[in-house]
Amino acid sequence: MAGKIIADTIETGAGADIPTSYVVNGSAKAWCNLDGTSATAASDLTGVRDSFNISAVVDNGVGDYTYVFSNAMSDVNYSFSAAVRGDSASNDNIFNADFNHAFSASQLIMRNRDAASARDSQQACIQTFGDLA
Amino acid sequence: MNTPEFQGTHLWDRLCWAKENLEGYQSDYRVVYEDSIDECAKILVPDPNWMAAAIQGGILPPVWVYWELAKDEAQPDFKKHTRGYLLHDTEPMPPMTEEEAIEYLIMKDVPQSVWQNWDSGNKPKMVICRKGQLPQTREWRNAWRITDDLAA
Repeated sequence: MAGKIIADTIETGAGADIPTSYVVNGSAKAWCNLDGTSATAASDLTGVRDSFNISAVVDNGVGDYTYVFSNAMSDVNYSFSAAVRGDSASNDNIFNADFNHAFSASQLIMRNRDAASARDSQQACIQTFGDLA
Repeated sequence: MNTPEFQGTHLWDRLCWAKENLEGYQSDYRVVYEDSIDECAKILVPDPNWMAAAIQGGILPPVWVYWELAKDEAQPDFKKHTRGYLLHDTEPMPPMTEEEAIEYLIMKDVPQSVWQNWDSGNKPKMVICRKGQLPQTREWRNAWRITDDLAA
């Protein structure tokens, strides 16, 4: 591959250096910004706004999405976090209630905070940290 | 833009290159499928950056690589991937059309039990459609099923 750089450390302009393993281990291995309310809605709306290392999102039903990785994780001990947002009238009333890990995908389930019923999110953002296969 | 020679390069690094150099491609296709009689229809939404990589070619591994990794994961007491090199060392796929990319994505991300026997039961278990053919609101989303006449 053209432009390949092999280095054990990275040095800043101020002279501070860190091992490149900090960057490798500390980088998000996958992320996605999804509008779950428009993944199946009118054609002029976009489901996946942007992403990295995601091949597809599966809409499993209300408030239930699976993010499938292009490059799977090596094990299921990786870290998966999410930030979700509801509509403008009740931004604070939604939370990520549950998630399920798999090697090649993560499932995110969201609910209303007050009624605990499943609910779609306008922004269902996920980030994954860990080791890649 | 030509894709660099990527065989032997970690897939994640290839995806980094794709992210920097390719414009995301929003496919209008959706794949509707049912893998449980107790659950509503699921809808696969292609990722725009993945679609761009598939159409560009020379980035993604062949789909059989994912099947091999899935076989490993299905083994009892499987804990950790040891054949990830298949993702990185196998010769990448050439450029695909949008339709070929969707077929590849089905074979990668839809359960094999669905796409291998999609039309063998009383009604189809899977439909490829345009986004505009789906209901325009998500009302009653958890009741969506594939009908006998292939309409989602």
